[in-house]
Amino acid sequence: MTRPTHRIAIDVGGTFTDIVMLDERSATVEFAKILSTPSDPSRGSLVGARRILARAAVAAAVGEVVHATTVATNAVLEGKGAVTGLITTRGFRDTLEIRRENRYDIYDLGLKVPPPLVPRRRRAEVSERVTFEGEVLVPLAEAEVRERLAHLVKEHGIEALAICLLHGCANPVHERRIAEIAVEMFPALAVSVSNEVAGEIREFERTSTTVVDAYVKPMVRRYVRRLADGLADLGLPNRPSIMLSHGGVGPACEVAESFPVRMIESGPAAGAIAAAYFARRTLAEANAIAFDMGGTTAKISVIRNGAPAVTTEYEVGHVHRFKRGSGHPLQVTAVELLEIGAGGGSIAHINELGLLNVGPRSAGADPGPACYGLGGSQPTVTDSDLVLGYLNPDYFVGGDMRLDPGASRAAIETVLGARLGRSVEEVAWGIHDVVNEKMAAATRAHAAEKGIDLRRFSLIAFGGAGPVHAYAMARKLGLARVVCPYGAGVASAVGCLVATPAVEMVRTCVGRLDEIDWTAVTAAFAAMRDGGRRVLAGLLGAAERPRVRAAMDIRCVGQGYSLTTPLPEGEAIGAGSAAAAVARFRFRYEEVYGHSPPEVPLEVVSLRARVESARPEVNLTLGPGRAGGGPLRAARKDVRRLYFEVTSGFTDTAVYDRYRLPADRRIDGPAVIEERETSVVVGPDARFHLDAEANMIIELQT
Amino acid sequence: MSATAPPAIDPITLEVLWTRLISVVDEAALTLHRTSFSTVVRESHDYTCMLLDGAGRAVAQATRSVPSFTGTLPISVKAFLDKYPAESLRPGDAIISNDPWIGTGHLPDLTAAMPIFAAGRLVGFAGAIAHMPDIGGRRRAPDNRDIYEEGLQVPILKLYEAGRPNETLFEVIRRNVRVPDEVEGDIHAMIGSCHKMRLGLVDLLADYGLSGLEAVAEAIIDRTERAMRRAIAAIPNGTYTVDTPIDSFDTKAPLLIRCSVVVGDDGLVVDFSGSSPQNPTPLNSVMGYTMAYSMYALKCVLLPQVPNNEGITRPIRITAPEGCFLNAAYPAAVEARATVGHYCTSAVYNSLAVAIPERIPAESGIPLHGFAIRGRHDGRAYAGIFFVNGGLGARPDDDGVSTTSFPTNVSNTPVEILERSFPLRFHDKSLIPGSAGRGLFRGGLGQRVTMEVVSSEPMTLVILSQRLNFPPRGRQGGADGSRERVLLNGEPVEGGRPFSVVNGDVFTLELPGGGGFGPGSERDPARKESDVRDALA
Repeated sequence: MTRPTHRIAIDVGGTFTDIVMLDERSATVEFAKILSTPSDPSRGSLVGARRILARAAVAAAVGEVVHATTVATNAVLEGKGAVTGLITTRGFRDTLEIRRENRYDIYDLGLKVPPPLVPRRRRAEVSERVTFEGEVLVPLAEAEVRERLAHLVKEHGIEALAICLLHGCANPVHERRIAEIAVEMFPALAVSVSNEVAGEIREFERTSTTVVDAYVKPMVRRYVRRLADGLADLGLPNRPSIMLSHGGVGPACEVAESFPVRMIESGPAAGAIAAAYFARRTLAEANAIAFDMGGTTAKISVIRNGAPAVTTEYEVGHVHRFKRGSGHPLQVTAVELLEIGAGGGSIAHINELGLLNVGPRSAGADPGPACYGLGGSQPTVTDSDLVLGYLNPDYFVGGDMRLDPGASRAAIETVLGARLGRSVEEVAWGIHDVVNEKMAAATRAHAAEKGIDLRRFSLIAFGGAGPVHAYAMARKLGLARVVCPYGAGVASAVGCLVATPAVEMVRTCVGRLDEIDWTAVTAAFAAMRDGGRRVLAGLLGAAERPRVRAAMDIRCVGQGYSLTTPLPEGEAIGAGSAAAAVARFRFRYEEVYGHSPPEVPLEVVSLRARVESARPEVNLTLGPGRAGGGPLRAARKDVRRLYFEVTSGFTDTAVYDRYRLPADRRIDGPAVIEERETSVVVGPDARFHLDAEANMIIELQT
Repeated sequence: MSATAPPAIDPITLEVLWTRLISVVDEAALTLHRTSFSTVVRESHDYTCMLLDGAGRAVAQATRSVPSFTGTLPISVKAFLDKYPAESLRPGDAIISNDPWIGTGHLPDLTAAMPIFAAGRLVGFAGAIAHMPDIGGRRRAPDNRDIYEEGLQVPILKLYEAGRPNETLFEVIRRNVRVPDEVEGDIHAMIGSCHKMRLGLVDLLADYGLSGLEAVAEAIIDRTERAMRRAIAAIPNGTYTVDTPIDSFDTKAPLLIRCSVVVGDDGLVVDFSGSSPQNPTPLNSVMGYTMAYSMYALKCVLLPQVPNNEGITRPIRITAPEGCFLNAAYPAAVEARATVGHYCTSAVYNSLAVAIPERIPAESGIPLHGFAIRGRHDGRAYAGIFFVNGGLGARPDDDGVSTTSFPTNVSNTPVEILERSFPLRFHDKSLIPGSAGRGLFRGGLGQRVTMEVVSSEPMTLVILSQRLNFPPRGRQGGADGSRERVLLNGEPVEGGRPFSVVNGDVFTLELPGGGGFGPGSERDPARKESDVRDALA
């Protein structure tokens, strides 16, 4: 067999499936975009893979297929997961339904909470008890376990089983035994065990995580098998890799088998990884806000030092899409995304106070904005962008779709203009400004929560509407630079290609840092390292020694929020690590909170290990590879009138074709640069250029 | 202040400015949340931040706020202005107080406000409230007779004067609390959040070329007031009076809330005349707190979507005769004001339900229920308070939510964390089948919490219980929810007084389910069947 030279990435989104193939010899890539096949998403993936292979390579040359999918999260959202049962400690059957007892919206008397994925009738209690210190207080009643299991399978027909006992992560002996019995009695049952899936303290969140894992497991398993078989039929490697929620890639079959909940945010994580890649490639300091604005929502993520921010407080299956606390919480490490109800299709309306509001209601794709001419009569963000001159009615989606500015003006005038007593142009600017302020406000709050100073950050814009709004967003946030990367249209697939094989492990370990048993800590890290290596085995080179990043979640005694504090890399972990842990905690604390921590003892809450491949960064040549040549006038298509706040009105603005722009020429705004999927707006107080890789960099006067 | 009327602000610019103002406050609140030490602040979000105009009127509040605090902060800032008139304030000043009568109604909450200056002129105030980890005194003691037993009283004082810290005041506070470092840390977090709001407002004014907040404040408040008046106009005019009796610490002597909601052309009045007089226990509320929860109840029904500001309160007047337990006079004990104040939402809804029965949910298993414990174990002292919640009342269009906090918003503490923190072992924390009031829509379920003491030393236990005699009411033919029960070693007992419990003692709190809405005979058979299969009926 020849040495593999190609890698393929497939991202299955709601509407499109994106495929990118990398030729590692030249670092060049091929793109393809096809419609998704929601009834069986693996089918679209395989069609796409076949199409891209036809263009450029033989299957045997492909060494790896990396995949991102929303199959798991959709199962939860649509309630289409397995019939699942839960076994828990006597007295705690309702933990899943009692939740944390708070309300996510204090003024909403009609508040809804997500119904538990396992209804009460399928939640069984067994006699057993372990203390918080891991001591067995009441031995496991095995006969009772068998009886409960038989009942759940025979009476309720469960296909999946979650096992989550009180203090199950302090001593997993009973959880493990129940799992053994379950597998012995019903080998076909998909079993998820809390200490393996989540491993962290807080019984509701751990139960919820374990239940989601079990709930999606049978479906994810089937999906991955179909995909693997299909790939094999094409002569491709039949062990695909999968993008995990934390932004690393893992072996799809093993993840589907052992903890599918870890791939729940596969697709969005891939997008953030791509943004981080572009930040590393284009910025001297890779600190950026990734801003992905599409048709119905905008997604914000923070890139710091070239890596996307991750959270350990994640949720799926929200009852209220934009309200934190309205979903099923997950104890998984996930790329942190803030979703805002603001996109091109968001509808502008006048609220009960007579003020102009935008979203979260969206016209979607059908009927869509008024300018689509598909029957939409409500004014949307896209309609205002069209009236302001930001979009070219003859070159929307590369000219595949014609927009009707008259319809936009009519919708704005009829629904809003008359009531607000303003001209169509003034209202159009108002819609643009209101939606930008809404996104900027959410971004500011998110930055405050993370303790970052936005002024040191750049904006990386994606999505159909991202580059249209990025310049104005950057002005609101006081950012000096905007990056519109080349290949943003297939960002998630690009993210799959550049991500590193990695798994995250976590163990609860509560104790004062100055009293902690370092022998036990060292052993726990070693166990996590070995476990991680086993999971990754298939993805690493034969001789490759993976890198282990060890960290401790540390907090001041008395404080509730801990900080993930990395331990020095490459040093043995032991009692000698305490001083470094303290120093690094203090540094992190000052970084996040802006002042030094109080002089109180420190406490360790959890141990974390990220085991990852040490392979070097993939270099992609995404651009045409020939940028730098042609004259600027060849790229200039037209002159159009665009509305800008700094000029308080419409200004003659040069229109450029992105694909013909020369590299490294600084061009003054105002300008609008058109590409197939979007338009980039550059105001009069900014200038822009393309770098050697065809990424566009906009610099604003601040 | 300028003599000329501020120019009107158009409805587009106003939306943008208001969104930005709220984001300034949210940024500050999130910083306060992250940097505070107090468990109540962090786990229960027991804090708020707010921007007020130069006259102390609420303009923008943090999105996630405790309802009562947003009602009391403007009262506090106006009282601060009475003591320190606008012309006496300097940049760098910060004023604090925990006086219940001009503040949140009990001593543990500290209120801080900082004047904001732009171009040498007072343009507004940054305000913050947070629940301190300790304030001295006898905590959660039901036999406190007056405020002096409840802890340190901080009158209205400058904590910073032109940027200089008031060391005397810091020392007095530190000496009077059990955990001085944490309390001081939280005070710094509050002042830090005020600075953040100050900087945010100054930037905003500069960006938009505004010399002050008046025009924006006036426009926000005015539009909100008009919307509130429209909402009130949709309620039929009339006087609606309903009595809501509640448990006192002596269950044979209940307290009475008499609530009259008077709806007229010129607004709405909530009048608590006829309610019980103040009593010599901490079951008293101050007027500000009574107003805050009554106002909150009205906002949820009448104008839930509009961000809170002074305009909400303008068409509404809340009154209670002085000396009544909802308007207790100094120096009454008031620490359990939450228990009393939370019932104000119930009382207002009980009256409103007469006027607009199709819009008011059934009663919820309020108020706060929980456990306050202290003692020594393994050579270390411990003290803690943790909350559990009953079921919410059924809504006119859906079942009530089980085991959820209302009208305040406190989370439970995970059992795995409680067992690690205190010498307790939980036997049970489950829904109580049948606790929900039946109806076309049933109430949310209550829960049973049973725990055992596992310590060689005695534990002092106070059970915060209510509704032993008065279950949450159903509406429109819906049945009442269940009553609360307190059991010690299997025997029913009354809460209120502290128990001394020892190793092996087992205590149980059974929390009420919410009331039902509409006749049970009309309930959807599928919903009925589902409850039967889940053994909840």
